[in-house]
Amino acid sequence: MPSPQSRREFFANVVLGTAAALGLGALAERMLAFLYPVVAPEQSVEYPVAAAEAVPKNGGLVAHSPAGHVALEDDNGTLRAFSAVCTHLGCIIRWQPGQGHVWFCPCHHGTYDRAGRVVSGPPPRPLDPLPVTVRDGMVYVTLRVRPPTTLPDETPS
Amino acid sequence: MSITAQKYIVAVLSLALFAALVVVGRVESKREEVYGGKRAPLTAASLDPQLQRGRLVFVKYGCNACHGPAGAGGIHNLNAETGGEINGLTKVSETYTPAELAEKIRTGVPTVEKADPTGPEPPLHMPAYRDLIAGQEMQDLVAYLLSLGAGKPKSSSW
Amino acid sequence: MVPGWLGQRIPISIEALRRPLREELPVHLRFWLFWLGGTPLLLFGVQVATGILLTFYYVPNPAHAYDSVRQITLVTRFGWLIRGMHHTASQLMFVAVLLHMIRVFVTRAYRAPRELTWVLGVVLFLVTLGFGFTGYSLVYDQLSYWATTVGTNLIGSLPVLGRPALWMLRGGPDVNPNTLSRFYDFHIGVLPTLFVAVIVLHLLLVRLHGVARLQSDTRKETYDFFPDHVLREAAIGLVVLLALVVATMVKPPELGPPANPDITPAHIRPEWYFFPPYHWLKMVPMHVGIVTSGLFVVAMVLWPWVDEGLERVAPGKHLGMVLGIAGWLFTLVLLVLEALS
Repeated sequence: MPSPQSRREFFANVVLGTAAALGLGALAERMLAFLYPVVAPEQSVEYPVAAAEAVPKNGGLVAHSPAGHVALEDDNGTLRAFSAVCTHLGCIIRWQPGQGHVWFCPCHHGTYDRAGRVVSGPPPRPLDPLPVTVRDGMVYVTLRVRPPTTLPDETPS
Repeated sequence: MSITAQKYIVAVLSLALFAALVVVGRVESKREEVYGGKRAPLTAASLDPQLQRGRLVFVKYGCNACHGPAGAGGIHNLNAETGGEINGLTKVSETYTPAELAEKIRTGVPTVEKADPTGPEPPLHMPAYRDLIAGQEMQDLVAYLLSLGAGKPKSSSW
Repeated sequence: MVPGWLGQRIPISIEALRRPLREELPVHLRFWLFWLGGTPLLLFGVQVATGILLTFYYVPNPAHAYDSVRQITLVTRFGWLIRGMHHTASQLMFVAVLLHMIRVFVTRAYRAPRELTWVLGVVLFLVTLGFGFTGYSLVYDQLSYWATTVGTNLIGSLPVLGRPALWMLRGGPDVNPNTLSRFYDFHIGVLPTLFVAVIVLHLLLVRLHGVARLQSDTRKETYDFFPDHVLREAAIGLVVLLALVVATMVKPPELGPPANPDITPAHIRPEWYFFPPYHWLKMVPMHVGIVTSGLFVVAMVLWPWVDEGLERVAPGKHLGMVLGIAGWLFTLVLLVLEALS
């Protein structure tokens, strides 16, 4: 049977341990939260990426937008857009037709066909298709973008 | 003072710290609310079609490679009089009329002034674009450049 | 031996591990005045922790420094708390260090054989001033920029060593982009390393000699390091942390207008712990001021021997104590004068 003394001690230890865990734990959590980056939620934004006539007939090109690289292709009059980011490890693909493929990734030689499907190489999944329209001779692609973390104008005082 | 009493004192202090940090959490939520309200939404639709075309001209001829994305500047040019860097373009609306800007693009900057006269020649200079950019492209480009920095959108890209 | 797998790889006896915990400390250490030495060390720990966190976001480049501080204060989660604690702790550090120095001075604990401990302590004090000076310059608002310019110019006017020291500090004859990098490196690299090295020696000497007791205190009783002393230290530590958190909530960190090398603001002042020399230098001609300030620092460093000499010259007259207290009071008066002006 534990003595009253040692029971008191035990109880005090438990209280101390819990309180210390709460206090120091809260401090540690705040410090870790500080380090975790503040990231804005994604938004869908439409960007003009190329003049419609810049896309070669039955060909393709990689266009640049402030929100990333876009692979555009013309397939007998059908305009398609994909993210030009290789699904393997993030390199930018190129229009480089070859045996059964049209898109080629220089990093590990992944290849994709006109529908964005993987033909050969290490990429684990097809290219991400992107909504695309043409207006006034301009190609517009809808991209998922995070706004950059902006600084408010004021000075803390 | 007994050890047990001391343990309780430390426990109380720890809980006080915990309580203070909970209040800190509330203050932080308030800040997050205020800050969140100040974040500018991202939209490319705020640009009219001419500015959008102009932006494509800017990229097509590689202007961004020297003047930075959206003319933000920051590209080094050793010993250049413009602070050792290629100048940004966000203030051109304050110093150029549309006609002057078009002429500047056509002529380029054949020699860049040295910051230190005894130092080396700045390696980068602006080529003359008279044979490359003209007509609608030039108009769109000038319109785009004049829009940079004016009523600066809070987001750095668009 | 430590049992099993771990014991084979860390060949140390449990007894050897437990021994430091069972150390007996003399009871005079329970007196609150003797806690003033540990507080600066604790605050240093806080500074290292918050400082490291701040380096994740701070950019030591004149073009981005100010905005990175704004980012920390306005955008990051709890950034205001971390930055605020870092700033508040730096203020508290000087209070704690000064109280500790006064305690050691008044109890004359610097006398033989503890003179070196005192000397190392003064070095620590100077390093702490260095931390305050370099840290403040990193914010890169108007006060930062100009206080740094004036402060380094002052160093530059020292005879002989002044100009090389100034160029070394600034990374050039004038304030230039390298200057901020250098101050940053002093603040996060050179000074912390120096501080740790000196504090280890300082603590080593304190341990070897034992904390000096008042001559009148002849008690022989002791108390345990663990859990008694540890609990006391924990309590003090928690009080300090609590004070820092609450103070930061009550007065969150601020920023002045961004640094403008073309405009000197009407009122530049260094931080309050620099008020005494700052005011002194305003009162007397520059060279007189610099020489006398230098002598003051030398007297501080060599105080144990100065005091001993005075005691020999006029035994029992406590000239050292009188002179020392006069010195402290004079410093305080200068501080108040500057604060009120």
